[in-house]
Amino acid sequence: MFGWLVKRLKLQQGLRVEVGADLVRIADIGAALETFGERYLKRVFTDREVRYCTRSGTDAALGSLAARFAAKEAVMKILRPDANTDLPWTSIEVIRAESGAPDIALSGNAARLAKAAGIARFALSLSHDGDYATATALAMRFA
Amino acid sequence: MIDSQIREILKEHARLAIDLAALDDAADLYQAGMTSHASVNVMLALEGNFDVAGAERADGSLIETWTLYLTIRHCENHR
Repeated sequence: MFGWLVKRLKLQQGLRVEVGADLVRIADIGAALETFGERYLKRVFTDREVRYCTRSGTDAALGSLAARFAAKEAVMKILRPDANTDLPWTSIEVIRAESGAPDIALSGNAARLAKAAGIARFALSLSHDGDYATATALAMRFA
Repeated sequence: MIDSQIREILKEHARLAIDLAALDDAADLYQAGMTSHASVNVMLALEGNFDVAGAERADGSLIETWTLYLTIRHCENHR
């Protein structure tokens, strides 16, 4: 009769949540763009991220890009790759879920690391205001 | 020569809070205060200055200068 409850409790007992967060100075993004231009964008962001961030004006774009960089770093903190694992910044992509909420899409080694760690899904929150942008990522995995 | 060029790039892009002259060649730049975003700048500056892409040349051969190789790898795999 209470099988579903037992199952759910077992599920919750085995569930671990990990958190990563990062803070980025928005001006640093502008300075890097000014110095390295397209090379910087291509190295760090996917085409889809750039398109989304640049859809409305330069100031908004810098804040959005900074928040995405913070998100990538927040996820890196969760994945904790070792020094021998190549993990391009573009392998961690911030996308928009159908609900409009920001979400994470992984590819390559980032996806492999997440799978190996048993991460079932991520949740992400982004914010930028004034000089700074921040991101907090949660990863849910089964221990 | 290359070492001094690398140090110049670190001075300009790594935004370290410590004196670069006192930094050991094998020092961990992240421990020395380099942020992950600054590491991207350092890597792009090294690549542009030494005409390499990542830790390899455009033809796929590894760059031969060990210090440069290590510095780029350090910035690439910054975790």
